[in-house]
Parts: sequence; C-alpha cells; structure tokens
Amino acid sequence: MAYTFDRSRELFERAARVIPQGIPGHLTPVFTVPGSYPYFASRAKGSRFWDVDGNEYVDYMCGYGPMILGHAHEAVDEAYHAQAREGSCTSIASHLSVELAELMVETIDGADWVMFAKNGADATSMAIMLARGFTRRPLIVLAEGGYHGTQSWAGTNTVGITQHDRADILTVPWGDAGALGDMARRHGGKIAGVMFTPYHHPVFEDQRLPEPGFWPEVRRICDEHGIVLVIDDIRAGWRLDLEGSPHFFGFKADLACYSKAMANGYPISAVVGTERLRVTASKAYFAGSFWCNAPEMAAAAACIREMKAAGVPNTVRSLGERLTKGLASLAQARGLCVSITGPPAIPFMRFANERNFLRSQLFCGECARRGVFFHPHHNWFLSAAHTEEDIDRTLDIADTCFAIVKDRFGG
Amino acid sequence: MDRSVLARIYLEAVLPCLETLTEADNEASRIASGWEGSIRFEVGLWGPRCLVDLRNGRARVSHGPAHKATIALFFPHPALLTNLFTGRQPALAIPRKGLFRLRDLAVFSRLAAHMQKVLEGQAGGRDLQARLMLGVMARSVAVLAVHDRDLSTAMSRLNGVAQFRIRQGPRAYVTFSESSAEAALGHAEAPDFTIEFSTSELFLAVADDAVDVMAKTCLGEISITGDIHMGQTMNTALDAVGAYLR
Repeated sequence: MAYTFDRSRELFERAARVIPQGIPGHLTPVFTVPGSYPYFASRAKGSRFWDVDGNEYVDYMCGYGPMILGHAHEAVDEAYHAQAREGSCTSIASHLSVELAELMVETIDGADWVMFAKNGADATSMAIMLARGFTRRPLIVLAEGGYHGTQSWAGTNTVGITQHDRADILTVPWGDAGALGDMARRHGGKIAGVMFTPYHHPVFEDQRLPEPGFWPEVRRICDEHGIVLVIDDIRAGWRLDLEGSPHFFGFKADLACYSKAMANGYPISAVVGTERLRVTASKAYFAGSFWCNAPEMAAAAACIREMKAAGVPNTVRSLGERLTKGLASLAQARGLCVSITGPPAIPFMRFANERNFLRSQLFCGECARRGVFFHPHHNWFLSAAHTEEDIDRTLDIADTCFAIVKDRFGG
Repeated sequence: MDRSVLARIYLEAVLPCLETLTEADNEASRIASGWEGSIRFEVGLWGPRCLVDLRNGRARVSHGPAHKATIALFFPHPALLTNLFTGRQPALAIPRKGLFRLRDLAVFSRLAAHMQKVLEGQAGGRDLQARLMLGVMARSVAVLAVHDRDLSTAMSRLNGVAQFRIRQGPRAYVTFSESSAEAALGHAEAPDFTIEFSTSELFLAVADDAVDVMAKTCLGEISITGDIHMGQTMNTALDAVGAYLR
C-alpha cells in the first residue's frame, strides 16, 4: 500500500503562511518530488524516521549526512543532555572545548590545532579568512560546481549577491590539476588558498573520485606557489576515514573543515590546521553566540569515541557496497542502466540514459511512497545504524520501483 | 542593468507579441488594419534588429532586412530605444528610411500602446495577458541566455528543452544547445524540464513577482518535472527577466 501525505500537506499549508518557501533550504520538497515525498518528520530512531502521517522510512539521507551513528543515538544523546543539564551557553569557555580539541588533534591526521564553530559554512568561511590572513593574498580557488555552503562568496545563492561578493573567487574544473597549475602561474603570487572537497560531490551530477596523482600534484602546486590547501571535508568527513579524507586519499592538507557527522546531528563544526598556520589562527577573531556551547562539544566527543570504537567507516562502506551492488544488479536484471558513483558509503545513483532525471524522480518517488527515502538529485548517506536487513528490504522495494520505471519508460 | 540587453528584450521578446495580439484580439487587429507597411528597428551598428510588418490587420515580426522596410529607425544607443518603450526621454531615432512616411508610425504607436495595456492587464482579458506574457518570458530567457553577462555563463552549460505552460492553456519553450538559445510558442516534444502553472492568474502573479514559487510548487499549484537543475537556472533567469522589465 503506497503512502499518502495528507498531514504533511496540511502542515505545509500552514508553513507557507508563516515561513517563506514553507520549507526553505536544502530540505525543500521542490528538490525531491512534490507529491511523492513526505514534507515533515515526527520522529526518528536508528536507520528509520517517521513522517507526520505515520509513514515509516529507511533513511538514506541521514539528515543530509550528520546522522552517521543513526537517529537518536543513545550514547551521543545522553552525553548531550547530561551536559545540557549542567549548562549550555556559559559565560566562560567550557572545559569540554579542551577535551574535544585534544581528541580531534589525536584523531585527525595532520591536525595540530582546532577552532570550533557551528555550521559547515562557518568553518569554510573561517578557513578562507585564515588562508588569506596567512598569505596576505586575496584570491581563492574553488572547483566549478563545488559546494561550500550558501554564504555570499560560495556561489550557491543568487539572491542579493553582487559581483563584489565573488570578485576574489576563481574556479577550475574539479580534478584538473593542470588547470590549477595554469591558474597559479597566471595569477602568480595572488592566490591565497585552494579549497576543494576531497572528491567531487556536486548535486545533479555523477560524483568523481580523484585520479591517481591528482592530490600529490595539487599539493605540489600549492607548495610551489605558496598557496594554502584547504579541504572541505564537511560532507565526506568521518564516513571515509576517521583520520580525515585527506588521509584516506593519501595527502596532507593545510586546513580542513569538519561538521555534519562530527556530533551525530548536533550543531558543531571545526577547522583543523597545521602548525605553520597556528600563529595566523591565533591572531584572528572569529566568534558566534553559540560557538562555544558545551552540550554540542560533549556530543561531538561522544560521537567521535563511538565512531572510533565501532570502526564506523568500515561499517558504512560495507553497507554501502551491499546497497549499491544490489541496486546495480537489480537494475541490470530489469534491463535498466544505472550509474552509481562516489564512495559506497556516500553513493549517488542516476539512470545513465537520461539527463533530465525523470526516471530518477519516478524511481525515488515510488521508493519514498513505499518506505525507502532516497533522493533523486543528491548523493545518499549510509549510517552505522543501517543493517543488512534494512538493505535487503530496501532492495526488495527498489526492485518493485525499477519495474515501474521499466514499465513507464521502457528502458 | 545592461541597456543593450533590455533593448534586445524589447525587440526580440516583447515586439513579437504583436503577432499573437493581432491574431487573438479584435481591437488589435482593427488598429493594425489602419496601415500596411513595415517598420525596422535598428539599435547601434551591431545591436539587435527587428522588422514589424503590418498586413491585413495582422503583424509579423522577424529579422527581415532593411530594404523590405517601409520605415527604418536607427537608435544610436540602446537607451534611446528602451526609453521609447518605457516612456522616458530622450527617445530619439534617426529615420534611415521612410522619412516622409513617419506619420504612418501613428498606427504602430497605437498598436504598441494597446499591447502595453494588454500586457498590463488593462485590456484584452487575463487569458490573453497570460498568453502574451508567457511568450515574453520564454523569449526573454533566450535573450538572457546568450546576451546577459551574468547569466550567460551559467546558461551556456544548459543543453535541452525547457517548457513553460499554463494548464489547459498556452505553452512556450526554449531550446538550449551549444551556448545558443531559441524560444518558440507551443508544445515541446519530450522537454527536459517542464514548469506548469495551474491557472493564468497564478502565472501572472508569478510574472509580477508576487508569489512564493517554492511554496506553490510544494502545494502542487505549480508543477515542475524533469531536470531540476535546469529549473533552478530558469528560476534565476525568470527573476532576471522580471528585473529587466520592471
């Protein structure tokens, strides 16, 4: 029996009266398939969430990444609430900031220090300022189609953005070290930093893993031209490698940004850096009213310890392989051609014989109406709370939905 | 605002409305039947050109050559043409051809004024207004895709067909390929992206920048299907069209 979303719809009508867009930002239903997806959740636990109509879903978006241990994880939640009972936003720094920073320096390869913030965008903005402060240069190189948040320099939003906001931003194709080298030579001495994601994970497109030699060449170019190499590990961080995605791909970053899975759903982010940028970081004034909140730090410390104890990257990779291999096999058996790209723990699937996503929207919408929450345009996320039984149930439903796609489109 | 882009929007997106208008609206046809001839608009040495041909109460708008024109008006600067449409001064043109027939421009002026009333909802009815506006929107998107400095970079990556339609009403589409864009009225076969407005009123409210498009989409009053990335770019382009025309 396919799900219905009557209460979601009723709630959205109220939302639209008091919130522009009803649901703004990345959770907007416009990016899924309005009518085939729920709009509002009521609760979540482990690998599942329930919408306001009472429908249950196996969740492959994991809150767009943060829920790496699964929803409502007891140890992390208890750490958060225990600290909240002791105080949240204190007038002097929490001792937990020291403990968490020590844990991160101990855990992340190449990290000599940590600065905390709240969201990924805080961290990427802070990293850019540090790169500029360290080099005393203006220009920042980003990858075309790369995502670093919605702040004015990041190029995601178009409303209220002026040319000046991005005047010092240059772009090159992700994975093209030659283009980066050319740009470094062309702008000799003016590029402060290069900020890339560890692998390319744009929306609406296949994900791209780095070619062998790409990262060593980027590192060499940065060293040759005195450029700070910043890795935006907000999305991939902790899922590929607890020592950081640069460690996973075998290179060293100067600065790296973390958030999302860092505290299993609680709002905290961090920039980690190497020794040579410490003095610059010591001179900068970065702050936000809630950046020093202790409960989130307690949650982050608990989450990192849980991830280390459970070897989470291996777990989510293994689960992701079971899911992606199963989907590819089922699609092939139905005579459909799917492309599945990116790391198994963070896969993106689309139908290879279309560019307009109509098959993906039908497939993902039908899956959602049967209890599997995939996204047609964005990569998915595995969590340590998913089980092999979840994956197998997902594949059963996916097979039904592949049949619907085959029936509608023929191939 | 880039005046040369605005001039191009007037010539390539707004003036072509005269074809639909004279076909669908009796008053427009009656005005147009008051003169037989053609007027060519030329902006700068390398700017847009447009030939409006009035015959038998109907208008045809094309890129026709100057020698076919009864009257040819040369606007040395784009602002001189855009002022003509916005009612600002100066709105000067140099008559390159038909100097002694300029009084015949009165028919065109009346027709253009009537079109303006229809586009503003003061004549012709809401359905006709929506039909004209849909064409203006689609053609303007095509103009911006090629000529707007900010948008053309993003839009040059588009490949495929974007369909705009009003449910059980008019349709228009834009075909993007190889950094070019072409608009047409009517139904597109297998569009890559489709945006459908449930009513003319809703479409006109969107065109007037008076609607929360995201919310209406979630409520099903606006339907979007296909390449949502193309749709995002369309949304940005439509917003820019509104900014140009307002």
